[in-house]
Amino acid sequence: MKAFFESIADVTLRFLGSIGDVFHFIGVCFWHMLLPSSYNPAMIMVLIKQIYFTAVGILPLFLAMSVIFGTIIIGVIVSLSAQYGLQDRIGRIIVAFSVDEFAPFFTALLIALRSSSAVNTEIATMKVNNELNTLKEYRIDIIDYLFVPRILSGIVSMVSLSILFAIIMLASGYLFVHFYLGMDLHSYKLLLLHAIELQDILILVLKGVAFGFVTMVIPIYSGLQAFNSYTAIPIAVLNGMVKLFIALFVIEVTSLLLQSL
Amino acid sequence: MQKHEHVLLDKTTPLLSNLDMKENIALIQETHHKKSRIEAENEARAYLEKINLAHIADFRSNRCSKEELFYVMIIRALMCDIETIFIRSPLQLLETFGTLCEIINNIERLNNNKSIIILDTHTNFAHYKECGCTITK
Repeated sequence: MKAFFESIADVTLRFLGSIGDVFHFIGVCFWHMLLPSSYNPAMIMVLIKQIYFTAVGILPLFLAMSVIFGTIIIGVIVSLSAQYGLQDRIGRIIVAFSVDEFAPFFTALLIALRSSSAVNTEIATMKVNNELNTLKEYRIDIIDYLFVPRILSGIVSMVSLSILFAIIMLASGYLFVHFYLGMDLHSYKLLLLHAIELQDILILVLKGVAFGFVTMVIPIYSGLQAFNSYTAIPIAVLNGMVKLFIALFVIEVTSLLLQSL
Repeated sequence: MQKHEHVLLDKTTPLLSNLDMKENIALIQETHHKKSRIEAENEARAYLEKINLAHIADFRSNRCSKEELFYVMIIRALMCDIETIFIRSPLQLLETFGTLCEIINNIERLNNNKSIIILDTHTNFAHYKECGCTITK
């Protein structure tokens, strides 16, 4: 019985210790993001490349997904609203679902699958290949050179792609509304403009920032945990992605709770 | 910029695989001296030209021989604001031992008043005998 409680205490302490390490790492990265000395030509070059890989490289797939999902999901919302006699609140329902919830969360999932896994693998490979050791030996701050540009690119890409997704989703939703409800474009525009509030834009941007931050910080932290063996790389990626998906759901649920207050 | 005592060059300090050769060299100037990318890369090319390796400037590690990678590592170390460079067990970084004397001569051509110290085991002594460098046991 004593051994059982000891093992529970041990697991709890290790869990709390690792949570503490993650928050310390997040704090250090955040502090470096605020320091002007972090921004040198090499770092800015990495930042530009990362924004290109994260936000521009994904565009063809992203645009296609946003049109397809936008039409289908807004179609479902409209038909359900009509079914339950909520036609007069349809604009608010579309905006609340697509702008506040679906656009940032779906963008976060796409970026997590595409860029976070890549960053996690990259950092783990650099750790295993001693490349991080090279940077330390040559007095290049790995937080400034490797981590800050990736985190900033995650935030910039997530916010901009979430806004783009919301716009395309609302625009493509018109197709369904036009054919299902026979609504003309002008009425649809007015419907959305009357429904959208400043709070919706604020939620979209804040969720984009939070999702962007975790989609980069967690894979980076996880990549750093890889020990010096090639077999450690897939383990680090696996652990990182699981933690990332948990974090994304925690942010989503927290935002829902905050909005319901 | 704070002056450090030495920089180490061995198999634990490889080149960065996501950068090409000129970028690996330029990285030091960009981060330590805040030089622009173009200026730092031009300087890197100039160093590579000194030892007739300008053609590898745009190559990544997988397209270079071990000797070429070793030269790039040396040039990268020379870019640092550091007085002494320690090269530990260089034979582990090279494909053939026969080129060692030529490499040491090229290092002298590249060097601009820095102390370059090669650390190696006594078993490799024979490889250095003909090279004309100062050997301390």
